[in-house]
Amino acid sequence: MRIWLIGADQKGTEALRQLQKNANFEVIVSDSIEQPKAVTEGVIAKVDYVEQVSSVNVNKLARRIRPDLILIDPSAGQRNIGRVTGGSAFSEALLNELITVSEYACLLL
Amino acid sequence: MTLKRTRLKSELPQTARRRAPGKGHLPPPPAKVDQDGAAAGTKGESSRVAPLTTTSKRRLQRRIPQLAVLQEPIQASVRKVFDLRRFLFVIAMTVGVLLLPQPEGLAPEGQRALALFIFTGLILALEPAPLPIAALMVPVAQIALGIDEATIAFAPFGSPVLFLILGSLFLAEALRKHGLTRRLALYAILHSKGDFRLLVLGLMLITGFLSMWVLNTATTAVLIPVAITIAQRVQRQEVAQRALTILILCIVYSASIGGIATIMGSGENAIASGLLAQSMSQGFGFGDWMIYGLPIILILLPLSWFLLFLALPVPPIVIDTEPVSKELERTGGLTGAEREILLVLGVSVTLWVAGSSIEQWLNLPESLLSSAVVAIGAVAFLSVEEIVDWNDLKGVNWGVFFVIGAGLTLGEALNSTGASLWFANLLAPLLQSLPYILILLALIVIGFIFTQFMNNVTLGAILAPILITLGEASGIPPVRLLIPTIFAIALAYMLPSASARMTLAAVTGAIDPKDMVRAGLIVGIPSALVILCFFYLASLFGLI
Repeated sequence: MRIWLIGADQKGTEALRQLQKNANFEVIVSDSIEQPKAVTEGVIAKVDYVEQVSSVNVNKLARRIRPDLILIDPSAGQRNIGRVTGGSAFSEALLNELITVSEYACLLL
Repeated sequence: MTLKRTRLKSELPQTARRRAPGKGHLPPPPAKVDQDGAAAGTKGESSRVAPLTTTSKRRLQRRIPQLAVLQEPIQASVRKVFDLRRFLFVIAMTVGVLLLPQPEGLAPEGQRALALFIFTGLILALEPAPLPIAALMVPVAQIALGIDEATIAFAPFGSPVLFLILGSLFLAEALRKHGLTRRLALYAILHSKGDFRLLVLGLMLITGFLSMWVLNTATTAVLIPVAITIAQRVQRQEVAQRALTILILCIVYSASIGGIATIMGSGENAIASGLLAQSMSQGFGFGDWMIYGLPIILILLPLSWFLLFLALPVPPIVIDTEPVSKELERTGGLTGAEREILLVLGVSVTLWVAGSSIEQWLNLPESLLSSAVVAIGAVAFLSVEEIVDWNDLKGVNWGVFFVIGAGLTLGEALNSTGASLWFANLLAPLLQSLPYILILLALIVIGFIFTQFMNNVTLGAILAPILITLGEASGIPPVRLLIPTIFAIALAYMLPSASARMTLAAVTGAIDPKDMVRAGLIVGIPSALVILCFFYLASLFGLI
C-alpha cells in the first residue's frame, strides 16, 4: 500500500513510527521544510519532496505519486503559520480545503 | 488551467504507469479525465503511454505552479518567543517617562499612569512576548508602578464586555467546527451562478454579516482558503491570480467592515464600548453602538465592492459552480447541529438588540438579558447540546481577550489617576476652538494612518481612554470623538501589519504588496470619507 504523508512534524513522525512496523507500507513523505521533526529525530533519513502542499497543487502531485491514501499532519501546518492571530483556524481551513479538493482519499491525523 | 511547463528536460507522464508484475503493487491509472483536463492539454496526450519515471525533487521545484500561492513555506512568524532587546527597550522607555520632571498639573500617580500608557503602547505594538502574555503584563506593570493594587488592576478582566467577546469567540468556533461558515460561502457562490462579480458581492455580504457577530479574524481565517479553491477554477493563470487577489481582499475588507457594526465585531469596539459604558451615566450598550455601526456598513459594503473592482480591474469571469453544487449535494442539507447553531445565533442576535427592552416588559432582574449574559448563555446551550465542547473552546483566540482587558485596565488607570484629564486639558483649548468637522477629519486621518502600521486592537486600546477624557474636558460628547475614530481604525487595508486579517492575507503569498497598498488606498480613503460625512451629518441633525 502506498501512502503519501504530507507533513512530518509531531503527528506525522508518530504516524511514521507506526507505519514502519509493516513492511508492506510504502510511505512517501513531503514537507515544506527539508528537516522536519521526523528527520531531526532520525525516524527518516530525508524528506522525499520538499514542497508546500495545498489545495492548489495536491492533485498534480498526487497524480505523480499515486498514493492509495494520503495522511495529513496538521501540526506541520501549524508550525508554518507561526504565531499569527487566527493562524490556527487558517491552517485548519487550508487543510479542510485540501481534503475537499483532493481526488484521493485523505485522512487528517 | 493550463500548467505551464518550461525548461523541463524531459516530459513527465500525467499519471504513473503500472509497474511490471512483481516490482510493486500500484493500481492501474484511473480512467477519468482530469478535472481541468482541457486546460492541461491532456486531450491529445491521454493516449500516449509514457514510461514510469520517478519524479525528482528538482523537477517538482522547477515546475511553475498554477497559482502563485502557498508555494513557499509559510513562515509568517519566525520571531523568537521572547525578544529580550525589545522588552528592555519597553522597560527603558517606561523608566524614562518616570525619570522626567513631573509635569505641571499632573500628580505623581498621574505620571506613573503615563509611564503605564507608554509601557502598554510599546509592549502591545512591539510584542517582545506573544500578544496574550504582553497584554497580561499591563496589569502587572500597573501594580509594579504603584498605581493600583492587584484587586483593582485585574478587575477590568472581569468586565461584561470581555465575556461578550468570549462568547463571540466560542460562537465563531462552533461555526467553524461544523463548517457552517464555509457552507454559507458555498451557498453564496452557487447563487452567483458563476458570475465573478456577483460571487464577490455574495462573499462580501456573507463575510460582513458573520463578522458582525463573531470576531472578524475568525471569519477571514476560514474563508480565505475557500477563495483559493474558487480561484483555481479560473482558466487563465494571470486572470486567476488577479481573481484570487480580489477574492482575498474582498473577504478581508468585508470582515473589517462587518466588524464595525457591533461591539463584538472587533476588539477595539469592545474596548471603546467598555470605556464609554463606564464614563456615561446612561450607559452605552449593544444597541447604542449598532445605531452608528449598522448604517455605516450598509454603505461601505457595496461601496467597497465597487471600488475593489475599480482598483483591480479584471475581465468578465465565469466560474464553474458545478463542483460547488456537487459538494453541497454530497454534504447534504443543513445538519441538526448547523440548524441549532443558526437558531442560537438568531435568538442571541434578537436578545442582544432587544434584551434590555424585553427585561423591562417582562420585569426581569436588571441585566439578566445583557449582552454578556446572552453570549455566555448561547455558548452554554451549545455545550449542553454537545455542539461544542471544552476541547474546541480551548483553541479560541485568547490573545484578543487579554488585549481588550489590557485596554480596559489602562483606561481605568489613566482615569483614576487624573492622567487622562491632564492630557485632555492640554488639548481641550485647541479642540474647543476648532469646528467639529475639522476635529473629525483630524481624528479619522490619524486613525486611518496609524491603523495601517499598528494592530487595530492595540491602537484602540491606546486611543480610547484619551479620546473619552478629551471629549469630557472639551465639552464634546466622547461618543462624537471616539466612535468615528474607532470606525476609521477598522479600515486597516494597506499593509500586513495593519490587522490580523491583513496578516493572514499576506501570509498566503497571493497578493502583490503593490496591489495591497493600491487597493487599500482606493478602497480605504473613500471609506474614511464616508465615515467623516456620516458623523458630520449625524452631528448636524443632533443624532450624535
